[in-house]
Amino acid sequence: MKNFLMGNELIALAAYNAGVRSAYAYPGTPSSEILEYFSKISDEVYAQWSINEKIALELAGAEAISGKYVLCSMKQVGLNVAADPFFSIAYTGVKGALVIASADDPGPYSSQTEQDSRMYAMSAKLPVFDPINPEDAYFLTKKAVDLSHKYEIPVMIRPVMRVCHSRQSIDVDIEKNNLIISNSFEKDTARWAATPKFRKQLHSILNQKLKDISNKYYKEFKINKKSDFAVVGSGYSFAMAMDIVAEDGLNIDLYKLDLPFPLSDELIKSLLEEYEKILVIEETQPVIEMQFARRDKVFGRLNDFITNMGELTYQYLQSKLYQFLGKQNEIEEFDVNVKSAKPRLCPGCGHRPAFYAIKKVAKNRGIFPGDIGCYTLGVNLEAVDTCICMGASVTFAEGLKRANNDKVVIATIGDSTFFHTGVPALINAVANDSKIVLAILDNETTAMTGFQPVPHKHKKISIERVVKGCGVDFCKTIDPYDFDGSIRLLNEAIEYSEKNSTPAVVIFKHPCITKIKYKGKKKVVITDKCKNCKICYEKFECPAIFEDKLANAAKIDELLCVNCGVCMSVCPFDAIAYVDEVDDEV
Amino acid sequence: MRFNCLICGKGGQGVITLNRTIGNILSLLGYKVISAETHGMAMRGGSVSTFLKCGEFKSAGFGYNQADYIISTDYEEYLNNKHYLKNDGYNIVNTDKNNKNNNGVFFDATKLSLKIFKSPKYANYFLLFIFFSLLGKIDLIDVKNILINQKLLDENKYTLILKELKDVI
Ligand code: SF4
Ligand code: SF4
Repeated sequence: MKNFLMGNELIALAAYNAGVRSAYAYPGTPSSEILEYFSKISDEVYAQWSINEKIALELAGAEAISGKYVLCSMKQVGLNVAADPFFSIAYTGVKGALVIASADDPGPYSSQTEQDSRMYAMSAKLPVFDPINPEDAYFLTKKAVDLSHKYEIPVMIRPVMRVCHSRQSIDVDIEKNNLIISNSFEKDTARWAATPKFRKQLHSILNQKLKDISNKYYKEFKINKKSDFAVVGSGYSFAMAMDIVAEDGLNIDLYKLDLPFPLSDELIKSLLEEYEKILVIEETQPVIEMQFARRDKVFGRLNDFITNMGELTYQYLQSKLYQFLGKQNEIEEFDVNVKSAKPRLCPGCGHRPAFYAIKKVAKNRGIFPGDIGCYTLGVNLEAVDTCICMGASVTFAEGLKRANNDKVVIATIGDSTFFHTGVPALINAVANDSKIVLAILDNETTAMTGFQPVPHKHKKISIERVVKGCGVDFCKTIDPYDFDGSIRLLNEAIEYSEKNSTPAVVIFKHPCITKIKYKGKKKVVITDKCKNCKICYEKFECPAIFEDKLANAAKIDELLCVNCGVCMSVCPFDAIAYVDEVDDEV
Repeated sequence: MRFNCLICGKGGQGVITLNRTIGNILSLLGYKVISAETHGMAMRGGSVSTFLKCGEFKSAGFGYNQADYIISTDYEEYLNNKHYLKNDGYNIVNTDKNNKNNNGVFFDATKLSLKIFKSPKYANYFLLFIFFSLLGKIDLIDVKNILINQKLLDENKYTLILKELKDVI
C-alpha cells in the first residue's frame, strides 16, 4: 500500500484523474481539504476559494457549460447558500462535467444542522453518490464525473464527515489522461437562458435523464439471496454495518447502493419480493427508505426503528442489527461517564480580549448576536448570544435591536464571514437606520476550517473601504491587545450609533496567533498579589491559566502561554506581570 | 495482522498527526489500515478521539470493549475513552501523575521530551515507539527508517528516544 489518504484527498484526486482541472469552494468543516488537496495536485489545475458557496457554484457552472470538467465543494450548510444556482443548473445541465461535493456532518460535530444533502439532490432532481469510505469515495467520484459528462447533468457526491476525515491505505496515483476536453461556450439561448416556456422543456429532459440513469446504473445489480433478511444502504454507517455483519457472523444479505438517488424501480421491486424484512441504514434522512413504496417489510427511520437524529455509532448499529434479526442482544451494557473538554479560543487569540471588552462595555444591557467561526467560542465568554448561520449576526443585530430598543446590541463577525454574507446584511442595516455596533474580528485568515486565505489578504480589497462603501461613516480599527483603547472605542461606537441612528463598525485587527507563531519575549507570570478571584481563568478563560488549588492562586502553564500579556489588563489586582518587572520590584 | 486502536487526547496535542503517522507507517509496510479523525471545533482544545483499524475492514468504527490498544496524549481523555478497551487490551498514556494499572504504560512523555530535546514536541514519538514495540511483528528499525525518510525524525533523536524508553519497553 503506497498511500494513507483522507477521503477528501481521494475525492480531489479522483476528480483530477477523471479529467477535472478547475475547482471552486468555500471552506467548511468537513469539506475543506478537498480544494486544498486539489490545488496541490499539479500546476495545471485552477483552484479558487470563492467568497461564498453560491458564487463558487455559479463559477463552476459557467465553466462546465463551456465544456470544462469542474469540481465544486462545500459543506452541507454551504449548499443552502448555493441552493439557488443548484436547482437552476439541474435544468440547464452542463456540457463538460460538473461534480458537486457536499459534505454532511451527522453528529453534528462542527455544524449548525444535521441536514442531509442527498435531500437537496432529490429535490433538485440530481443524481447523488454516497460513498461508504475513502476508497469508495475515490471510485464513486470517478463515476460521478463520467456520469455527469455522459448525461450532461450535474452530479453530487455526498460524503459524511467520517468519510471525509477517514484515512485508508490505498494504491492510487496521479494519472495523466489524454482526455480532449473541448473548451468553448456555444450559444443556445433556449438552454442557457431559458424563459419559463423552455424551462418546462428542460424539466422534461431532466426527468428523462434521471430515468435513463437509474435504469442504466442498476442494470447489472445482482440479487443473491442467502438469508431472509436484507440490509440495504449507503454511506459510512453502511460500512460499519458491513463490518459488524462480517465480524459477528450475522446471517444478513448486504446491498450497498452507491447511488441513493435515483434508485431503480426494478431493483426495489425485486428486493421487496425476495426478502421477508429489509433494514435501511443511511445518514441522516430516509432518502433510500422513502423510495421503497411498500412499508410493511421495511425497517428504518420512517417506522422509528432507527433514531431520527445524531450520528449512527458502531455500538448503536450493532444493537440494531441484532434487534432486526430478533436475536438476543449479547452486547454488554456500559456505564459510560464522559467529561469531554470543551473547545476554547487559543491562548493569545485576539478574539478573547475583543469579546471581553464587548462584554465589559455593554454591562448588563447587552445582546450579542454572533456568527460562524472560531469566534463562535465567544459563547464561553458570555459575549455570543445567538448563532444562526453565516452572516446572520448582522441581520440578527438589526432585528434584535428593533425588538429590544433599550438594549445595546453588539454583533461579532469574522473577516471571512463578513465577506461571505455579512456585506448585504450591513447594507440592509444602514438602509434601515439600525442602531447597532458591528465588531468585525479581523485575523486575516479563515482559521476554524484550516487557515484558508481571505479576500483582503493581498490588499486588493480593504474591509474599511467595503464598510464605508456600505454607507457606514463610523469605522475604526484597533488591535484588541490594546484593551483599554478597545473599551474606549466601543463606547464611542455605541454613542455614535445611538445618536445618529446608524450602524457603527469597529474592526478588531490581530492576526491569528497560530499563523504568526507569536511568542512574546518577556515571560508573563502571576505574582503573589493574586487573590484567586478566578477572573483570568474562568471569565477571561485563557487556556494557559489554571487554578493551583494548593497555592490557592492562578498559575500560568509555560508550555501553553504565548506571553501575549493581555491577561495583565483583565486582572483587577494587578497580579499578572512580566517576569523582569517582578524582578525589578524584588 | 488485525487490531483495533483508539488514539485520543485534547486538541492541539498532536492526536491527529499521531494517528496519521501510525497509519502511514503501517500502510507503507504493506498492511491495510483505515482510521477516522475529527476536525474543526475539536482542534481548539476540545476532546479528540480517533479510531484506527488494521485488517480487511470497510470502516474504522468499533464498539465498547473492542480496542486492543488505547494511546492517549492526556490522562483525562484516557478516562473518557477507557470503556473502549478490551479486558486484555493495552493502554499507553502520557501523564504527569503517578498512575498505574496492570495492562498499560503510564508515563510522562512531555517531561522526557523536554528533558532531552528542550521541547515538548517529541512527546508523541515516545508513545509511538512504545506502541510499535508492544505490537511486536514490526521491526522498530523499519519504523525509524520511514520516519527518517519523511523527515520527521533523525538517527540521533531516535537513539535518544530509545535510550530513554529502554526501561519502559
Ligand atoms: S485558530 Fe486563530 S482565530 Fe482561532 S482561536 Fe486560535 S488564535 Fe483564535
Ligand atoms: S500572557 Fe496571559 S493571556 Fe496571554 S497566553 Fe499567557 S496566560 Fe494567556
